[in-house]
Formats: sequence, structure tokens, C-alpha cells
Amino acid sequence: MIGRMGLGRVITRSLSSVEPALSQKLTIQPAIERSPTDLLNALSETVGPDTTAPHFAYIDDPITIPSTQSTKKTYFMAKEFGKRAARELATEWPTLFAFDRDQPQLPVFRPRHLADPLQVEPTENNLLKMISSREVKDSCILYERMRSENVDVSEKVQLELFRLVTYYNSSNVPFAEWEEFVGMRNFGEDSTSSWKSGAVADLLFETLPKTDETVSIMIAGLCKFSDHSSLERARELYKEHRAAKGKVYREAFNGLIGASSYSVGKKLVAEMISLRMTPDIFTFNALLSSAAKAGKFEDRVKAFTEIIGEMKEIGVEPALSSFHLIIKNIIDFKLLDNEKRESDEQKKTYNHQLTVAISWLNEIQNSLTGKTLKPITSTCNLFFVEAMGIHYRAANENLAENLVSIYESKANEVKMPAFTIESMFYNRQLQLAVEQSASLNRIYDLYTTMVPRLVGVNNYLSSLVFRKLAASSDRHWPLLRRVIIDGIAAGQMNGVIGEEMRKQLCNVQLHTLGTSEREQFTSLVQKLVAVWVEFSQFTEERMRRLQRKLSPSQISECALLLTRIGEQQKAYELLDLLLDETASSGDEATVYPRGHARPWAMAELFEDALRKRDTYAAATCLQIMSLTANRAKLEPLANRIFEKCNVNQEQVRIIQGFIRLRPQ
Amino acid sequence: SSAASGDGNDGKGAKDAIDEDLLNAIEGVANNIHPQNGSEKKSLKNTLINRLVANEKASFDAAAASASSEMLDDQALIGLLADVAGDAKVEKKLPPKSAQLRQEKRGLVLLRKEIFYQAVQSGFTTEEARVKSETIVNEAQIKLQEQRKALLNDVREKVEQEEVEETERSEKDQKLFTMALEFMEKIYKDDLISSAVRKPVKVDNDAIKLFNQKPLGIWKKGEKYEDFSLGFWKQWDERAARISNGSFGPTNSFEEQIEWTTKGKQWEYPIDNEFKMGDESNVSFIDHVFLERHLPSLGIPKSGPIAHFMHLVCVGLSKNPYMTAAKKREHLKWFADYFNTEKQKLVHKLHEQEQIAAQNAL
Repeated sequence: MIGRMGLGRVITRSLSSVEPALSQKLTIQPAIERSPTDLLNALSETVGPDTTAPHFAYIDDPITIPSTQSTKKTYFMAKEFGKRAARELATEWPTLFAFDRDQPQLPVFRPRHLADPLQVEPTENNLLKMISSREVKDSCILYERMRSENVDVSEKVQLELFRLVTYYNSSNVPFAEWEEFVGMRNFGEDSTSSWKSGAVADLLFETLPKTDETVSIMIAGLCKFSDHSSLERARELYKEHRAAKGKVYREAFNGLIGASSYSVGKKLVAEMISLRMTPDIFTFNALLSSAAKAGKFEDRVKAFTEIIGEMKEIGVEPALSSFHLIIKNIIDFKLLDNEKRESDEQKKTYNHQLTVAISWLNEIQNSLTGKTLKPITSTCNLFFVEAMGIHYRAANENLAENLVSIYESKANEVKMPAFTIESMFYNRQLQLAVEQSASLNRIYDLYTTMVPRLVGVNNYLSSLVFRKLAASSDRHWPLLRRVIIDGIAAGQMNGVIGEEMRKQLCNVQLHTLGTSEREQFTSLVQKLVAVWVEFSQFTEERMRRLQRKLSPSQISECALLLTRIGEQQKAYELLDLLLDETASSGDEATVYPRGHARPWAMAELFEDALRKRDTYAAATCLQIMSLTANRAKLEPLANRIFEKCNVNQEQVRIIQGFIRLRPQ
Repeated sequence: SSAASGDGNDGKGAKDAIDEDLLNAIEGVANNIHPQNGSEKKSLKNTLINRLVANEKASFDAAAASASSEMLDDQALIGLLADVAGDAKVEKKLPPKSAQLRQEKRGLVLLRKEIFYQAVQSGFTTEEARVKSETIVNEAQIKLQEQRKALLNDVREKVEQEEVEETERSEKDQKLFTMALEFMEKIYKDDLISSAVRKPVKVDNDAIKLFNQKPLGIWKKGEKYEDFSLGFWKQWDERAARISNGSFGPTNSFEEQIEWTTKGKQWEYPIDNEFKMGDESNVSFIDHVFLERHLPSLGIPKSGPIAHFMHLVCVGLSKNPYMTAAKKREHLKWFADYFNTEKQKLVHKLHEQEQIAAQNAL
């Protein structure tokens, strides 16, 4: 094929060359063999994360792009279940897709039913197929059927089945090991199960001869799905087998060590030494797990350092999961709860332990920098979120940034699940950075980079940013606008965050904004007020549960904002609701009957009306303020109306009479 | 004497026929009209009692079939008189409005007539008697109105209370909805995040080190140990680790296509239109197209009608994209077997006959 020959290179020289024979030579380079994905891998390496877009899984119509963690889960699982439904449809009714002339045929688009263990022929081949495809429960059913029908099963096949059912505790593969459907893997919740007594694993163990391998497999399984009785049984099996001069495999030792205390673990390790057995990373992780059970901080510190020293001595590289076990268990558990650290002694102890933890993390991160990180055990990815938790507790922003750079480097192949654990990881980092940073520009850069792409919009983060904006003497309209827009998308408007939004918008100095920013402010206020008013008008029976009545404080704040953007008519339509008794009573009520208008908002509205010499508006404000103010406060306001506005004698008398009727 | 005896008899009968409440009412009315004159008071009282007894008898006779209704009317009238007199207390009732109005009107009319008559008998002028009766009847009417108003107020208060309860119920629904939203938020809340102000904790270089510590001393460096492992368990653990430490699938379009390629859902790059052809990928197009070179070895004559036919067969087969080259050669072999030596002679003979016939036709 010409296409597979690669590029031919023709070496030509000018005719004036003194070597004419060489100028006529044609050289064709040999074809470079490439795997099917080499080209795609090369292209993919050129693509980095797009900080202005959501995750690739959520690229869709913008209105459907999720903002919060719960909506991310809903969206992702909806897509995945749709895919599974289509798969099931193709499996169940293959004749619908029988007219197929595609060449070449691609079998992945023609899924087939898994073999039914009650229908399939009970042969060893079928059993082996089920075992190799990890259909644990189906294998158990078929095996029991073969035994009940007196079909012979060879010892070799029984051993294969024994391995499978012991490793998975006679249950199907847990969600955490689902390779194809990542949503179920990360969002699905497996129940932590203890060993199933009397299941196929126990049956096979009694049937098979008691060899080193079968006993070790059983001990490892009993320790993997451990409860009190299974651990007792594992220890008994170990003693019996050792008493019979049998040799136990490393995985059984790993299980027993992890399930024991540190002193017992060390004895088991000594047994491994007597058998001249090499440890692996799982052995040391098990030892770290047992060391973590020590009650005293000093004992744990000594044990952890000893174990890490031992790993270094014999050249076993610690995995991220090893560091995870250390970081997670170094601080006393009862000191982790902030509200339970009552005494000064406890606070001092906590501070000391936190200092040790942060110092160790500094050493760990220094050792990890620039190194290729590969997944060794299932819990390797948890190191990052646990370490970020320590950094958050210690408020150490430098180490947090260093940890993020380690996680995001090309050399790291350990990834946290993006919308669950990774989101928590970045949330902690973002919260820490926002708390510690005094620069609104930096907060803006961090926020726009991470929210809602990595960190879902949540009340606490929004409140924190609003507090930062309120506390700062600087103004940052882009940050305020972005947080409010994210709050709108996340459904935060009707709640405490909605109040905060109004307060922050009222604090904006319009004269400091540019022309385009002012237009943004105007459209944002219009949108917000329109949404709040619409929510208040859900008075039909079927919409009643979605209704959010306008409170007087909300009305006054919205009216103030509308006035600032030049929408006086809408503002006073809202204010009239406060004076309309029918608006706050009956089935058609849109106003909350309790509470009162914000005094500072009404004061500003009043001044604005006087400035515009709008008698009606000023009188409306006066009337609303009279609901909470007494006569002594109202008289100066009325006098200012008389001074500023063009009122005739009749109007003067009406206003004065109105004030005289107010309580003293 | 006989007149006095008659009066006594009437009094006894009246007391038996009319209950005590009504008698008290009548006494109140008599006191109101004649506060000072005892004899006139007594005379008025007797006359009122007689009239009422006669009226009651007539009513009973006229509506014997609706005795209960009349009793109700009577009771209402008793209440009316009691209110006028102010001497007796009547329980609040909830009669229908129309029935209530009818009873009131009937009682008031009756009362007005009797009082007018007695006033005239007592020596008042006609005008004075009319004014007197009107005044008393008006007082009675005012009392009735007040009573009705009180009932109405009770009903209104109940309605308002129900509205308040409904409002509270609606607010509870809203609170439940808000609570559900907050609960949803809390599920994804990071319990570690707190609002307590924290001072930065710096790295302490004097703290105990994690690395550079004395080891356990169990395994010795340089010594040889045996790798005694359940191979499958370790492999399956590593497989679980690889899967668990992945994330949520591809992060860009190229990664998605890599995934599709490895799963067999997409043609492989570089694009090759012979993708997954199978054995045919080793067959050259020459073998598909240039099929006439096989004819001599198959024994097909080089000229004549058979050669012409086989030429057409080769052209057709060369254009067929659905057959393998081997299958095409099988077709040729079949035709070769069909046109064996015997059939060649037959075709040749038939061809000559056809040519002769054609010449004769000319």
C-alpha cells in the first residue's frame, strides 16, 4: 500500500552539481509502524484542561450544564443510565438490528446476553467462561447446579472458582471495580460486607485439599472481609496450618497483619522472616494499618517512622496509600473535632500534633516532587484529599499549592474521582486560599478557574466570598457578578444567599463601574428582581409549594436596586405591595405578612425621591416608614417633603393629618 | 263575686298553661307600663296572660300537625319577651336566618298590638299608646339585632382562625421544601470546612522526621528472601487499584476516541479502508480483477463462442466487490468443468449450424 510506505524523500541537487550520479538517487524511507492509538495519544498530549469550560462529560446545551455537586451527579448518572438502557435494548431485541450490512462488522455494537446459569449446559467449559469474565454469582449458581445434577467438576476448575469466590466473598464484583461504567463506580455505594459463612467459598474450602495455597487463599479472604468471627477463624486456620508445618503465602500474612494490633503484627512479621519471605508494599501498608491502632500519639509516631525506615532499608518504595495511612491516623481522633477541643491542654496537644503532621507532609511532598506516581493500591488517590485536609486545618497555603502542583503534574497517574473526592480536594484548597488571601484579584482568578468546573457551587463558599468582598476596602465587580451568577445557576436565590446577594449589590458604588460594567449591573438586577417577583406569584394550587413570598425587607432592597438602575416605576410598584393589604392575605397573597422594610433602604429611597422632587414617591416612602416609625421621627421627614417638593396647602394638610394620627 | 271567682279560675289555668319564664316576662312588661299603680299592673298582667293563652290555643288548633314547629315559635317568643324584660336569660341558638326573622316579626307584631291595646285601656290617648308600643318594640328589635350580630362575629372569628391556620400550613410546606433543599446541600458538604479562624501552622524543622529514622530491623539489607505470593491475588489487587484510581472517563475528545479505538468502536488511525478485512487483506486487487489469465490452464478454448462467453463471465466477476478471490476462481473452475470436451464439440457444432442457417437466410 502506498499509504503505508510513508513519505518518500527525493534528494535532488541542482544541475550544476559536480556529482550528477548522486543527484539522481531516490531514497524511500521505511514505513514507521504505529499502534492504532499512537496518533491520538500524540494529539491528546497537546490538549490541557480548559478552565473556562465544564468537564468534558458535561459539554452540552449551556442551560443543562450543572453547577452543584448534586446536579453533576444527576446529569452524569442520567447519561450513563441512558447508555445502559440502550445497551439493554440492543441485548433484549437483537432482531431489531438484524438488517446490518456494515463492513467491517463491529461486535461491540451487537451486545449479547450473558449466559444464564440456569439455562446453559452444565459443563466445565461454561463454568470456566463465567469465572474468567468475573460473573461471581452466576458461577456459584452454575456450580451448585452441576453438583446437584451430579456433574463432575475437576479439582483444577474448583480451585479456579475458589479463587474467584474467595476474593469477592461470593458476591458480584463491587462497584469500585467496574471498569466500563464510571458513574456507578464513583457514585454507587457498595455495602461493606463481612464474610458470608456457609457460602460457596466455605463449601469449596471443605471440598478442596488443604494445601498451602488453598489455606492461604482462605485466610486472605477471611481477613479481607473481616468481622470478629471471620478473624477468629482466620487465626485458627493459621495456627492449624503452621502447626502442621505448612507454609502460608504472603497475602495471608498481609491480611492477618492488617487485622491485628501492632505488637501482634510485628510477631507475624517475625514469622515471615523465619520463612525467608519477601515483603511487598501491601505488607507494609498492613503494618501501617496495625500501627495506626496504637492509642498514643508517641507510639504511632515511633511505629510509623520505624516502618518507613524499614521500607527504605530494603528498597521498597512507599506508595501514596502508605502516606495516606500515616497522614490520616497521625492526629488523635478525638482531637479532630474542633468543638471537642475544650481545654487548653487539648488545644496545645492538637497544635503539636498538627505541627508534626504538617512537617511530615512537607517531607512527603518534597520526596514526591518530580517523581512518577502510579496507582499501587485502591486507596492511593485518597492521599491527596487527606493531605489537603491537613493543609486546610493548618492553614498552610504554600504546601497546599505544592500539593496541587504534584497532583496536576504530568508525572502523576493517580487520579481522584472528578466529581466526588477531587471536588472535595479542590474545595478545601479554594476555601483555604480565599480565607488566607487578601487580594480580591487573586480570589477572582482562583474562583473563575475552579468554580463550577472543579468545585460545585455551595452555600459556604458563596458566603465566604461575600464576606471577603464586604470586608475588603477594594471593589471587585467581576468577582461579585460571577458569584451571583453562579448562585443563580445553583438555585441559591431563595435563601440566606439571596439576602447576601441583595446586600452586596446595594453596596456597589455605581459611579466606580465602567460603562459596560454598569450595563452588566443593570441587566443583573433586572434579572434577579424578575425572578424573585415571579417566584412570589406562584399562587396556583399546583405551584403553591414552589412559591417564595416577597418579604418586606426584600421588597425594599429590590426597590432600592431598581431605583438605582433608573426603573422608578417598577420600584414603586413593588413598594405599593407593602401598602396593599390584599397582597399579604388570602390565597392570592404574594407578600409575607411579617417583617418590615429595611430602614436604610427606605431612607435612601426617600432621599432619592426628594432629590427628584417626586411628591408621590416621597409620600409613599413616608407611609411605608410610618409602619415602623413613630410621630417624632416622621415630622422631620414631612417637613423635608414640604421644603423640597411642590406641595399645595391641601396636600400639606393631608400629610400633617396623616402624621398626627401616628402613635406618639 | 262571680266575676272575682272567674278571675281566679283564669289565673290558675294560665299558670298551668304558660311557663314561669313567660309569666316573669309579662310581669316585667306590666311594671314597665304601670310602675306605680298596683291595681292597674295586676289587671294588665291578667289580660296579657289571657290573650296569650287564647293565642296559643288557636295556634295549636291551627297547626296541630306541626306541634314541634309551634313549640319552637313559642320558645323564640319566650326568648323575645325575656330579652325585652331583661329578667330571663336565653341560651344562644343557631336557627336558620329566615326562620329567625319570621319568628321575630311575628312576636314583634303581636307584642305591639297587645301593648297598644293595654295602653288605650289604661287611659292613654291613641297617639300616646302608639308611641309607647313603638318604643318598647324598638327596644326588643335592637336586642335581637345585637344577638344576631354576636353570632355573626363568632362565625367570622372562626373563619379568620381557619385562614390563619391554612397560612401556617402553607408556610410549613414551604419550610419543608426549603429544608429538603438544605438537606440536599448538606449531603455534599465537606464536614472539614469550618468558619473558625485559623492561624497558619508552619513547618517545624525541629520536629521529629518521618524519613531518616531507625528502621524496625526485621528484614536485612543484602539478604535474599523468597517471593512467596499468591499471584492471582496480587494481580487482581493491582487491577482494582488501576480502576479505582481512574477518574470519570475521558477529559477531551481525543481521549474519547482513544477509548473508542481500544474498545473496537471506531476505525483505527491511520485510516485504512482495509480495516478488519480478515484474510482478504492479504489478497491483491490483481487477483480480483485480472481473472482471464486463469482460463488457459482451465482448458477453455481461446476462440469461439465459449471464449466469448467466458470473457463476459470474467468481466462480471471482476466487478463484484462481495466475493473473495478464491470464490471467483471457484466460479471459473465450475464453468470449466461445465464446458468439458464433449460440450465444446456440441457448442462448436451448434455454432456452425447457426452460421449456416444465417447464410441461407440471406
